Amino acid sequence: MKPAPFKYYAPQSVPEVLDLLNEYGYDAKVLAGGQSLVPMMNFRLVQPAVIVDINKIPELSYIEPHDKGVRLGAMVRHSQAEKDPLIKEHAPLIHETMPQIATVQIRNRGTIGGSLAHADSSAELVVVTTALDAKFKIQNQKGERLVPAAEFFVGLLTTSMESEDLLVEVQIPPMPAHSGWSLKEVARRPHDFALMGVAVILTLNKKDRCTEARMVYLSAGDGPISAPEAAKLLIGNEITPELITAAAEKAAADEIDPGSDIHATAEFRRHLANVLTRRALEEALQRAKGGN
Amino acid sequence: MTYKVIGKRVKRVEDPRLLTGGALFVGDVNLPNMLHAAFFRSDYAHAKIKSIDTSLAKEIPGVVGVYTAEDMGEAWEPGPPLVSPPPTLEGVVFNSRRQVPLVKDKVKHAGEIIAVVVAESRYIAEDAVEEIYVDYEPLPAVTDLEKCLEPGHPLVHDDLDSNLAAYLVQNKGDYEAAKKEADLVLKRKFKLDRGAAVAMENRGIVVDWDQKNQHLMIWDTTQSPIPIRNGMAARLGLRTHQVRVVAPFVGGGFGPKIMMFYAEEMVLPWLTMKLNRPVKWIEDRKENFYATTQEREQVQEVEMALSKEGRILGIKQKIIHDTGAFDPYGLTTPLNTQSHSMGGYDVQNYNSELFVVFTNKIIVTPVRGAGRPQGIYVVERMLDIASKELKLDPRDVRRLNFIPKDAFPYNHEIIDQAFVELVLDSGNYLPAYEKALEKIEYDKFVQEEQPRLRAEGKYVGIGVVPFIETTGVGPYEGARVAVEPSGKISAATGVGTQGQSHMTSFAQIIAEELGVEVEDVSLVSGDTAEIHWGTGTFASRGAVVAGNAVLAAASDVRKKVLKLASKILETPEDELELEGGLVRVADIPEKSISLGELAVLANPFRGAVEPGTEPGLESTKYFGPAYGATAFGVHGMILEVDPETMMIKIHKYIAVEDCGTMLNPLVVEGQIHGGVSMGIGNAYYEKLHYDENAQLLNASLADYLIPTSAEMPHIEVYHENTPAPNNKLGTKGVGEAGAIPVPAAFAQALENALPDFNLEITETPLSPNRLYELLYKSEE
Amino acid sequence: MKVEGEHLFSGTQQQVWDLFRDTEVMAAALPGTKKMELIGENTYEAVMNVRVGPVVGEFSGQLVISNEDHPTSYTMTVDGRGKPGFLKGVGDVILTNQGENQTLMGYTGEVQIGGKLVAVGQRLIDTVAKSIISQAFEILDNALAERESAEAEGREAAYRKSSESDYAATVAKDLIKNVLKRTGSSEDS
Repeated sequence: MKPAPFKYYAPQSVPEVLDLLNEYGYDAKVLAGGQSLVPMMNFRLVQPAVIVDINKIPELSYIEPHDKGVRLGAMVRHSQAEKDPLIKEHAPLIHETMPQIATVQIRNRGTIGGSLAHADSSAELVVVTTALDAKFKIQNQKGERLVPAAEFFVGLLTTSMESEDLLVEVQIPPMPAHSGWSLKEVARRPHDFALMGVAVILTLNKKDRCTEARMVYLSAGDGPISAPEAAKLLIGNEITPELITAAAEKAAADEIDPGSDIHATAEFRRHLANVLTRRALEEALQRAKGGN
Repeated sequence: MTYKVIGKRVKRVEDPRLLTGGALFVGDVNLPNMLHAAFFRSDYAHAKIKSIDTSLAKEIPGVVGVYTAEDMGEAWEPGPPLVSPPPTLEGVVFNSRRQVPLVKDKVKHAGEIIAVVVAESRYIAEDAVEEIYVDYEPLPAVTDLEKCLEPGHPLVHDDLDSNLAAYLVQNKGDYEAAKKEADLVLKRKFKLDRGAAVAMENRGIVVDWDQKNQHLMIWDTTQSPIPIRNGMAARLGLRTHQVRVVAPFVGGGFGPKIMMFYAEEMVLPWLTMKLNRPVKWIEDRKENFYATTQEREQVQEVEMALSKEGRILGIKQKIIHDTGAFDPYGLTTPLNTQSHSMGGYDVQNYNSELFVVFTNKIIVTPVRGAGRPQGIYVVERMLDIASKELKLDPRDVRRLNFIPKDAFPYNHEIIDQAFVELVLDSGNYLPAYEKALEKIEYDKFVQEEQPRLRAEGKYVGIGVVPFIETTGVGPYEGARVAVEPSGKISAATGVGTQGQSHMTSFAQIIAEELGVEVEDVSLVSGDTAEIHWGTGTFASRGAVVAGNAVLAAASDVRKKVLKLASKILETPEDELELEGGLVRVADIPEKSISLGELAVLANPFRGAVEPGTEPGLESTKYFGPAYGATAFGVHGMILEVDPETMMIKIHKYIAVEDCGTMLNPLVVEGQIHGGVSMGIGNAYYEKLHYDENAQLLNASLADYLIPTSAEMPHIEVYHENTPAPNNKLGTKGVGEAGAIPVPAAFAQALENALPDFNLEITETPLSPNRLYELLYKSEE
Repeated sequence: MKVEGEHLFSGTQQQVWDLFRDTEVMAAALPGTKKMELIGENTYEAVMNVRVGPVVGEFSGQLVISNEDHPTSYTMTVDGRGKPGFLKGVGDVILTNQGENQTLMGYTGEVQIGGKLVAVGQRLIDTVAKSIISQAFEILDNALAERESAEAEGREAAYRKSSESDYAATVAKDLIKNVLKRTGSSEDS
C-alpha cells in the first residue's frame, strides 16, 4: 500500500497553485486534507503524476459572514467549521452536519473544499450544499467564476471544474425566514459512508403553507439527488402527516436511483429513504413552525 | 489458598513501554543493508497459470530480484502439517493439503503469491509488482459449502476425487432411540459466516542470514516462536542453534499468528540466504485480508429432541466446515465446534457428522473462539426456539439442563481438539447463571422496563446466554526463572506475548513465590535464545500451561533459595520467609540475607558446587496437563433496535465468568472486553463478503466493519471461582471466552425485542440489510 | 453482478440493429475506448481507459458477439483485464418492435469483476456501471438520430458509413474530453 511515484509541490500561494495546475493539467492532483485522495493513492487506484499540496496556503482557511450567510475558504478543516460560531448562527444545517461526517480524526484533517471537489455522492457536504444552493468560487489563471451547486456536481466523483481550476471558496446563503431543516442519515457505524441520507429544507409562509421544499439525497445515485416531484406535493399546501407520507414515498420510489453494494441493496436503500424522508420532514416542519 | 500478589489488580508493567513507543515490534527492526520484499498476489481465486512475465519488473532501478516458484528449486516445498492427524475414529477421512511458498501451476485462492520482488525499498518493490504480468486460465471457483461436494463440481485440488478435506462422525449414546421418546423434535439449518481477526499489527518478518557465523536471525510476528525456529531449521537444513526466532511485542494475535508457516515465512529465509542481505516484509492492511487466515464459516443442520419439560434428550448435527483452500491446521476448529455443541448441558445422546470442505477462499485456521462460538450458537439458538415451541421460560430450560455441580469431572465423550475425550474438569454452572440474571435484572426488565419502553414505541430486548470454553490444553510449556546477583529476577517462557499481559501475570506468580516486587521481575517471552522448548500462545492456555510452568520453576528456585539461606543463616528452612527481596528468619527479622547475595554465593568463584546441586538460583520447569481446564461464563445484553432503520444500540452488557483462579482480574476483564468486541463484530458487523467467484469484496477497513468504541457498550464483568483441579494454580483460560457467546446472546435479545415480527434468527453475522429482509420479506 | 434493463430507441428495429453491429458506434458508446478492432469473425479486441473521477484504469480484452438472430437478439461476451483487476461479462440483447419507429432494447447480463476494483471499490461499482450504461445510451441515441437525419437529408448513400463513424468518433471524443475536463483538477477532501 505505497503510492506510485509522483512529483510533489507545496506552493505557498494561490497564484503558484494556479501556475502549477496550468502547467500540469490533467496530470496534476490537488492535495487538500488527503482523507480520500491518500488512501486511493495508496491503493494505487489513483496515480497522479503530480501532487500540488495546498496545505501551506494560510489564506484559504477563513470563515466570514457573507450576504447574511457565510463563506468558507476551501482549506477550512471540518473540525474548524464544526466549532465555528458564525456557522452555527448563519448556517445551522452545516453546523448540524459537521459531527455526522466521518470521525474526529478525519474531521481534524479533512477540508470543506476537498470534500466538495471530490464530489463523492455519499458525502454529507455535497448534499447539504446542494440543498442550501451554495455557490462555489473557482479560480484559474484567467480569473474566477461563481458556480451554483446544481452546476458544480455533474457525476460520480466528478465536478464541472476544468483541469486548471482550483476551488477556493464556498458561499452558503442564508435560509429564508420560517425555514426548517434536517439532515437524517443511516450509517452502519456512525462514521461510515451513510447507506442513505437526506437533507431537507422547508419554508413556510405566515399561514404555515409550504412555499419551498428541498429534499436532497446522498448514496442515492451518482451525485446529490434531488426530489423535485416529491417537493411539489408539499409546496402550496399545509403540511400534514399524510402529505409527508406521500412525499416520502414518492421520493423513495420514483426520484432516487440508489445502487446496491455489500452493505445495502437498492431496495433497502429505498426503504431507508422513505423512513428518513418522513423523519426529516417532520423535524424540519417543527423547526419551520418555530420549534427547535 | 490466599495469595499476596496472585489475584491482585496489578497494573500492567509492560504498559509504560508500550504507551511511550519504547517497545520493539517487528516493524521497528531496521538493519544496515536491508532489502524489502513485496509480493505479486493473484487477483483470481482459481486459475491455471499459463505464463509469468517478470522482465519489466526486473528492469526497474533498485530492484534486486524477482523470483517465482521455479527459482526456488529444491527449496520449494509446502508448509508442514501443524496438527497431527486426527484420532482413529471409525471411518475418518483426512486429506492434508498445505499452503505453498509460491504458486507453481494453479492458484487456489485470491491473494495467493505467484512472485516476490526484492528491492532497495518497499516503494520500489511495489512499483515492480505492478509490472509483473501473469497469463491465467480462469477456472470456476468453489465457494458454496453445500454444493461443493456434489459430483462433477469443480475441484480445488485436482488430485482429489472431491472437495472433501475431512470427514468423521462422533457419537455418544443413541440419538435415534432418544428421539423416539421425545415430545418435541426440532430441526433447523444454521449459517455461520466468515470473519477476520484484524489484529492491530499485521504480520511481518525480518530475516538476517549471517554467512560467516552461519546463523539465521528471524524477527517474526508469530504466536509460536519455538515451533517456527524448529520448522525453519528443518526446512533450511540447519541445526536449531543456527536459527534464532524472536517474536518481540506483537500487536494482537487472535489465532492467525500461530505457527502457520505462511508463504512469506517460507520465502523470506530463502531470500536472505540466497542474497546474503537482511530482508524485511511487513504485511499491509489490504494484504492482510488475503494473506492471513480467517474463520467461522459453517453450515449446520441441527436436530434436537426434547421432553415437554424442556429436557434435552439428544442432539443430532451435520456440520459442513469450510477450511478454505488448504487445511494446515487439521481438525482443531471443527472439533471445537463439536465439543461445544452440547454447551454446558448434560446431553446423553449426541450424533455429529462432520464434513470439512476445500473452497477457493482464504485458508481457515483458528480465530479467537476457534469453532466454539459456532457450537454455542447452535445449541443456544435451539434452546431458545424450543422454549418458544414448548411455551417454557428459556431460563428454566437452561436451569433444567445444566450439568450439575456434583457431576464433575464430567466426561463429554467427544473427542476434542486435544484428540482425547473431552472431560470437563470442574464447574458450578447454575450459580453463575443466576448471578448473571440478577446482575442484568432480568425480572425487572421483562416485568417493568420492557413494557414501559414498548409503550413509548421503543423496541428493547434481553438475551442471556451461558457457555463453556475448553482451555489450557497441552502438550506443555516451560519456564526458566533465575535470581540475578542484583537480586532482580529474570524469567523466560516460550509463550510469546501479543497483548496478554504475560509480563505482569507471570511476574505476579514469581513475585508471590520469591517475595519480590512485580516490577523486579523481568520476563522475556518469545525469544528462542532464552528457552529451548515450548509450543506457543493459543487455545486460551497461557495462564494455565505456561502459568503453571512458571509456578513450578519459581517454586524450585524458592527451594534452592531456602536451602542455601538455611545453611548461611543457620536456621531450619521452615523458619525462613521470603519477603521484600530478602530471606529472613521469621522471628528475628534483622537476621536476613538478600536474594542477590544468595545468588552470588550460589555461583562460587572459588570452591566447588556441592554434589547434587547446580550453580545459581535458577530453574527450568515444564508443565503438561493430562487434559484441559474448562471455563464457564454467562453473558447478557439489553439492546434496542429501530425496526425501521435496523440500527441497534446495546444499552447494557454484563458478563459473569468463571476461569478458576485469576492471576490478575484486570487482565481477565481486559480479555473479556476484547472478546466481547470481537463477538459484537461477529454478531452484527464483521462479515467477509465473497462473491460467487470467491472474490473478496471488502478487503479494507472501510468495508470490513470492526466495532469501534462508539459501538461498544459499557461492559460489567463479574467473577465466580471454581478452581481447576488439575493444575496447582487452579487457573482456567479466558483469552477466547469473551467472543464465544455474543452472537447467540445478540440473536436472543433481538428476537426478544421484536416479538411482533415472528423473527427466528438462524444465521450470524446479521446486518441492517439482512435484518430488513428477515423482518419485511418472506423467505424464498 | 447482475446487469439488466431496457432502453427505448427512436428508430426501426433494423436501424437499431445496424447501429449496434457497427464497430465504430460501439467503440464510441463504451466510454474511454482507445482502440477497438475486429480481429476475427464477430471478435473484437479493445483497449479502454475507464475513468471515474480521479480513478483511472486501463483495460484490454476481447468482445465477442455470438448467437446472432438477425435483427432480434445476440449475446455479447466481454473479457478484460487491467492493473486494477479483471472483468468478465456475458449479456443477452433483445430488440423488440414497439410500433412505428420505436424499438425497445432489453438487456440482461452477468458481470464478474475481480481484483482491487471490487476489493476496495465495491461501494461504487454498481453506480459506476449504471452511469456507464446511461452514458452509452445517450451516445447511441445521438448516433441514431444523426443517422436518421442524414438519411432524411438524402446524404446517406454517399457517405453513410463514414459519416456515422465520424459522428461516433466525435461523440466519443467529446465524451472523453468532457469526462477528462470534469475530473482533471478536482481536489480531494
